[in-house]
Formats: sequence, structure tokens, C-alpha cells
Amino acid sequence: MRPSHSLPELLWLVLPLALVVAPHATKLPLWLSLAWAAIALWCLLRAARRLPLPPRWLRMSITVGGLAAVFAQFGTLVGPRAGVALLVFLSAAKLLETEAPRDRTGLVFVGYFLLVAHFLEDQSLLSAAYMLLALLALTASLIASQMPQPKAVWPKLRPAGLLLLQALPLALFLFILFPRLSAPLWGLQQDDTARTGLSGEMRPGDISRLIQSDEIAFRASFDSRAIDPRQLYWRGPVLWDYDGRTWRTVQRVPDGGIEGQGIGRPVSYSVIMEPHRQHWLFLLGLPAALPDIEADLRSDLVWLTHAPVLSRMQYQVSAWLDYRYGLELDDASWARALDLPDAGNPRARALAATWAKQGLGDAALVQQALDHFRREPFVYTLQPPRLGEQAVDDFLFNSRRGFCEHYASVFVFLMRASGIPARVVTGYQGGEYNAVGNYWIVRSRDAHAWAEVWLKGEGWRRVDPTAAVAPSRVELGLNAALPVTERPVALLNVETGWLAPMRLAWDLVNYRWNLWVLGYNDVRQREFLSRLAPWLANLNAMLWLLGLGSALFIFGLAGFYLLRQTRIKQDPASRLYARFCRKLARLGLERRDNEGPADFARRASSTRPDLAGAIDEITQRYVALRYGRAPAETLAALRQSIRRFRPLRAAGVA
Amino acid sequence: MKHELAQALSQINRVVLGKEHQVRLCLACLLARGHLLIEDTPGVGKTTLAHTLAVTLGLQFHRIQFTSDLLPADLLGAAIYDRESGSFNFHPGPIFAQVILADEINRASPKSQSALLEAMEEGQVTIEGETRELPHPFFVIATQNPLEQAGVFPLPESQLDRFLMRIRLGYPDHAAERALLRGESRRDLLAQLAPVLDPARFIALQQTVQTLHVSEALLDYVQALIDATRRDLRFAGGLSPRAGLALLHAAQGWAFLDGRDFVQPEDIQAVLGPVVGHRLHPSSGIEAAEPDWAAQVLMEIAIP
Repeated sequence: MRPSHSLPELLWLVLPLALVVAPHATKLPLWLSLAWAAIALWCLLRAARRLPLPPRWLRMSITVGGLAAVFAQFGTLVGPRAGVALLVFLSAAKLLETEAPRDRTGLVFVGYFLLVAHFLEDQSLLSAAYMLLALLALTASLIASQMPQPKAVWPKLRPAGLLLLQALPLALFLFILFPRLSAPLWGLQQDDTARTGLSGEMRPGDISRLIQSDEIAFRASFDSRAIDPRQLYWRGPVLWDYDGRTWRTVQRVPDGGIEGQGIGRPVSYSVIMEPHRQHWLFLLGLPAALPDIEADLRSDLVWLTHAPVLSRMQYQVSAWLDYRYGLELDDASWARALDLPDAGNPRARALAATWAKQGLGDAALVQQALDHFRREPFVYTLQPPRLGEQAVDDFLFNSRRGFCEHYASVFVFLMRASGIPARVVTGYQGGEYNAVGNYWIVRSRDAHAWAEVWLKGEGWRRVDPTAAVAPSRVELGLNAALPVTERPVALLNVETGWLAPMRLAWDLVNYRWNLWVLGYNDVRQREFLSRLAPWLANLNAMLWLLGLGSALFIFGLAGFYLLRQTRIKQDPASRLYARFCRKLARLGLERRDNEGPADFARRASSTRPDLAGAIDEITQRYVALRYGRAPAETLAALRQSIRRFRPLRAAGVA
Repeated sequence: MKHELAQALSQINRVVLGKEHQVRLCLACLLARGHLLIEDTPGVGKTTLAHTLAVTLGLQFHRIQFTSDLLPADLLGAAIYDRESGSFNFHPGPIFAQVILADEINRASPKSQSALLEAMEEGQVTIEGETRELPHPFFVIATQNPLEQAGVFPLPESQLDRFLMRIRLGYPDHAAERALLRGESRRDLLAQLAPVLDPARFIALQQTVQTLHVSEALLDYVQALIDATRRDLRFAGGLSPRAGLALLHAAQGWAFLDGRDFVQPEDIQAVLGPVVGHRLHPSSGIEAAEPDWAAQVLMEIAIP
């Protein structure tokens, strides 16, 4: 059997499919990507060499083997990951036996599906642009499957582009109006490759590892005045429990609400958070108003969602940056905020005890501790030496080199040892200001740990011991605080080089994309629609408009083409003749639109000889009017003869 | 006028049996001042048809058998030195006739082919720097064997375009075949033919054909057809404006034979196959098994 597709024809199928499959390859098992490529190459070879189809049993066993392998890999054939793997494999299997043009069309549709499936994994602007390209290629491939001249590229790309452009208004319309669900349609599972980010625990070295990553944690924009970076303590998990090495967050804190008072006017800010697979949302200051999302604010000002954040989310908060809170401390929290391991780190405890004995007030004691860090030769470094068994003692009296987590940890230890309730707070500090877009980019490398102490009459107060050691960390950011040799190389280049403005502009584009395209959720949709027209902002109205709009679009298009056809029929003789044809059509005598009037008259007369005279007369008049040089009176005659033409359905005549 | 044409038609049909449609097309082609290409296998009556046409129309007729060693001078004529008068005298070639039957045109070398085709286009020939008018009317009726046969030089597309129509005769049907087998020799019949028309008369008819009414509606249809050939990707290239004119003129000839003074869509459809068949080619990848493939595609176009 000869392959029915030539090499160029097959290239039109394989290349667009490869474009679609390629981005999946990073997520697929390696064997599957290799198998796909091998099969595709073999098919091209087959077309080039005009080899026969592989025998049926071989195709069957490849298909069954592939299905089994996918099942073995994923343990299932359904679900986003396994489903995509299955489709990718089946597209290759279908390629093996692609013979008829119909097979090509089918494969292109599978390609469309795989294209959409890619958005389950990645919704970034770059990948959207890539997908658009793949979409164009796929559409061109669809056109190619219906078209000769396999070598011509432009005659396929052009109509494909035009088709996509024509679809654009409808796509926009649907994008804006299609009701958004507050929960994703599919239980989207993000990839398993762990994202770096804050965890609910803190060991020495945890945060300094985070610093190495350039990954964006979230972006935030403020509604009002310029913000002092020193105020930007984005609060994440609060760590209460210490076992001598690791700080941990607690699952439950006493309820009791948040007693706090803000000072001055609250600022409003909006955060677009990248998914971090954890529960906490980052909060700045004391919230005055929280958005209506499925999350609870705990009494230690930790804001937790009910479900892990698996997709990018946006929230808007109004909060006071100057505030007091937690004026009353209940007994359980008191005990917890003073709790230390029973033994260990005797020298640190002794130091704390001497401070406590001096009889200073609590506030003065805190200052004393900070002064200690400032006075003694402590060094802020990303590469602290390993600490021994007695980590706190070792750090305080031997190495004196550490990162923010060391300072926060040791400081809280000292506070607790000297009788002041204290806890560690982790989160992000500062960020990069994008002046072009007027928002802040907060990355993994802005991760930070600081302390909170509870003072009578004042409540919980934020103390940042790192700032005592390296004030520039808080004022100017990480790079300024680190010794030159320790600055991460990747970071150094982009932050100061000539690329910096471009990088910021690109981030702005991404930010807008996240905000307006990906962040267009149910809340934003309602907001946007109510701004357009208040009555629009409910589900019913949306659905009605959606249905109506789509119907209008489709009928409008149909009407446009109909009009274009009838515009030609503006000629009065044609209009009369069309009426005549409708009369005959009712008898089952339909004029084909490529049938000349005389031919039609002959056919009609032979079917209905009883009408031959009338048909002949009408046709002659019409033809004379439309094609001949008939005088204007003929039109009236034609009108009359057509009006008189009232044929009856003859029995027994087909 | 009608009478003469009907008479001419019936006379030709008496010689060429069972080919009423093709005979009509030939006559329409000549009435529209077009050259005619008859393509078919040997022995189906191409030459007979051409000869009959010429005789019936009362036109002066030369037959040229094209062979691969035919030179342009064999066709056009040459100046030959006359010893008695001591000067060169022009001896006109066989092309100086009102109807040229160029038999098996695709057997000649391209050089001779183009000599003929130039004459067809210009109505004149240039020999040794001197331009000589050809007689009027001037028709070329060429016959050619299908290209599948050996030893032929296919006419290039630009030259095919000079022929208004290309028709195929095909085998006679059963009854015609029987009549042929029974009847007199065609050659004898030809010898007995008397002309029905004369050149002056024929030129007058041609002029009438040109004045046949063509309405806007009909031009819409012609343009729809031309547009389709240019847009439809099944065609390797669209019809040229000259081809569009050819279609219209041929349809005028056909309408005239039908006794009408205007052209209607059926006339276009009737001449569509012979007029576009040799001008349109399928794109690569399209199987065009039917010789009438292009016309079949175009017949699908709606009449506006």
C-alpha cells in the first residue's frame, strides 16, 4: 500500500502537533516524549520513502503497550496529568496509521485539546504567546488538510490568521461575560516540584537558602502615597514553638479576636500572590478591612485560607501600618510565648538572667538586647558557619556570624529567657519597587524573619534584630546589606545592569497580565460588569446577555451573508423570478442555483407538461428582461404572468 | 441568415456523423473568430471535420501535415531566385489560405509551431523583413493527438491560449458507427460537397455575432466564474482577461446559432468546457481524471 500522504502534507500535520506537544514534554515521562518523537520521525521517513503502513498487529501492540505504560506510570488514565500523557501517546499512535485526510482532521482536533490542556500547567504570558503561535499552526494545519498544494505556506497561514482574528471578538465577549466560578472547574493539581517559599518551620539556614531564589512570591500595589520600604514587613507564619533547633508554627492559637487600634489612616493595597501550596496569605499591618474570601484571621495576625493556595490569587486589604494590637495576653499564650526547652544553651540563659536582674523595664531590656547585637562584632552573612549542639550559645559567643533567621531566633530565645513573651515572625521584608507600574515585586529573596515581643501596655511590638546588625538590610534591601563577595551573581547582574529597566517593564507586562487576564475571577468579573452596567453584575443577566450576544453574533453573521446574496437580487426581474421559483419549489421543482433559467424551464416542463405553456412564457419574459433587450413593459407582463401562475399540486406527478 | 447556418450545420452533420454538439461548437468558435483545436486519437474524423467545415463555409482551404522536420519556411513560403527575371520572387507557403488545417500540430518542432501561432495572433506574417497580410477571414483549425502518445511536442500554455476552443470528438456512438461502416467513403462525400456560404457572407455573420447583446447580469456571471478560478485553490492559476473575453465571444457564437440576439447563462455553460478546458490546470495534489474537470468545477458556481 502506498502512503497516501506526501512528505510536505505530513509535515503540515507533524510540525504543528510537535509544537503543541513540546511544552508538555517537560512534564511528561521521558520515555513518552522520546516515543512521540520517534514515531513522528518514523512517519516522516515513511512518507519520504513511500514505505507501507506497519502491519496491523504491530500498530495494535504499540497502542496497547503505550496505554499500559501510561497506566503503569500514573496508576490511572484519567485526571489532568495522566489524561494529557494518554492524549499525547494516542496522538502518536494515530500518526502511525494516518492515511486518509479525515485522520489528519481528527488529529488536529486532538492537537487543539492538548493545546488547551497546557493551560492547566502554565498560564504565563510567554506561554500564552507560544500557545497562540501553536494555535495558528494548528489552524493552518487544519486548512492544509482540506487543501492541495502542500508546499505553499502563506496561503494557509493567512486564512488561519484571518480566522483567528475573526474569532477574536467572540472570544473577548465570552472572556468577559462567561460566568466565572469561584472554585476552579477541575481540581487542578499543580506540579509536584516543590516551590521554594516559606514553610511553617524555621531551622538555621532555611531562609538563607530561600534568598538564592529569584522566584516571585507576590506583587503588591498601594492605592496611595509612597511607601517607606522600612514599613514593608509582610507577615507570614508566626512561629511559637522552639525545640532548641527548629522553630515551628502552631496549628491552633486561642481565639479571642484581635484587639488592636490603628494609628492614622489605613492604606489600601492589593496583592497578587503566586501559588505557594500553603495556607497563609501575606498581610501588611493591622487589617481594617479584609476581602470576602475563604480565609480566617487568627489572633496572632496570621491569615489562613481554608484550602491551600494552588493557583494565583488576588486580594485587596485595607490596613493600618502603624498600630498596636494584642494589649491583653491570655494565660495560654503567655505560657507559650515564654516556653523554652528545659535545658541547653546555659551561657545564653545566664546572659539573659543578668539582664533581667538589672531591674530595667521590659522595653529597656529589649533595647539592651538590641544594643548587644549592635555593640558586639556580629556579622550579617549568607554563609554562616555550622553551629554546634548548643546553637544559641555557639552563635552568641563564638561564631557571631549569621543571617536573619539566626538573629530572630537568638533574640527571641534571649527574650524568653529573660522573661519577656516573644515569638518569631517569618514573612517578606521590602521588595523591589517597579516605578513603571507603581507596584512592588516581592521575591523569595526578600524572605525575612524577625521577632515580636509583648510589652505590657503596648501589646505585641515588632523588633527586628537584623536591623540592629545590618540596618541597610531593611533600608536598602538584601544586596546592600551583604558583603560584595556574597551577593548572588544572578541577582547582581539584573538589578544594576543596563537590563534593569527592561526587566522591570517586562515584569509590568506580566503583572498586568496576571491582574487583568488571569486575575479576572468571579469577584473581578462582577466588579467590572457592575462598572459597565450595574444590572449586569448578576449571574442571570450574564447568562442572558451571553446567550443573546452569541445568538446575535451568529445570526448577524448569517444575516450578513444572506444580505450579500440578496443584494445581487435587487434587480426587479430577479425578484419576480425568485417568486416564480418559490412557487415551483412548492411543487417539488427546485431550481439549482447553477441552473440557467431556460434549462430549468425545460426540466420543469418535462416534469409538469401541464404547466409548460406558463413556465415557458414566464421564463422567456424573464430571460428577455435580464439577459436580452426587452422593453420596460415586459416587466409588468412578467409580474402579471407570475401573479397568474398558481400551479396546483398535481396528483401522481413527482 | 438562420437558414444558411442551419443548412451548413446539417450538411456538416451529414459527413461527420453523430457529432452534432461538437459540430455546433466548431461553428460557434469560427463565428466568434476563434481558432479551433481538435484533440483526439487518430481516426475519429478530426481531419474530415476540419475539411468539411472549410468547404461548407466556402472558404479557401489548405491542409498542412505537421511533422518533426517541418520548417517555418515550409509553412510561410520563401523568396526564390527567378533566373529569367533575375530577381527574387516570393512564393507564398500554404499558410496563405482562409482555413488552415494544421494536422497533428504537436508533431512539429516548437519553432514551426510558433511560426504558425504568430500568424494566428497577428493575422499577418513577416518573411525576410517584409510583412504580408494573410487572407481574411483567417482560421486555423489544428488537430493534435493526445499527449500520451510518443513523439510529440506539447504546445506551451501561452500558445494553447491562442485557441478559442479545444474540443474532443470521441468515438461515434453505436448508430453512427454503423452508418459509417455502411455508408460511402467520407472522402467521396467531401468531394461532392457544395459550399453553403461564401467568405463575404461569413464575415457579415461574424460581425453580427459581435453585436449580440450581453447584459450586466450575464457579465456578473462571467465574472463570478473568472473569480472562482482565481480564488479556488484547486486551480493552479486563474483565467486571464483574454480567457474571459474568449468565454464571452464563444457564448455569443453559441447564442447566435441558437437564433437569439442576446446571450444567456446557458450559452456560457455550453461553451465552458471547450473554452476553459485547455486554459485551466489543477494544482499539484489534485487528481483531474476527467478531461472536462475544470468545467465541472465551474458548473457548480451559482448563476447570480
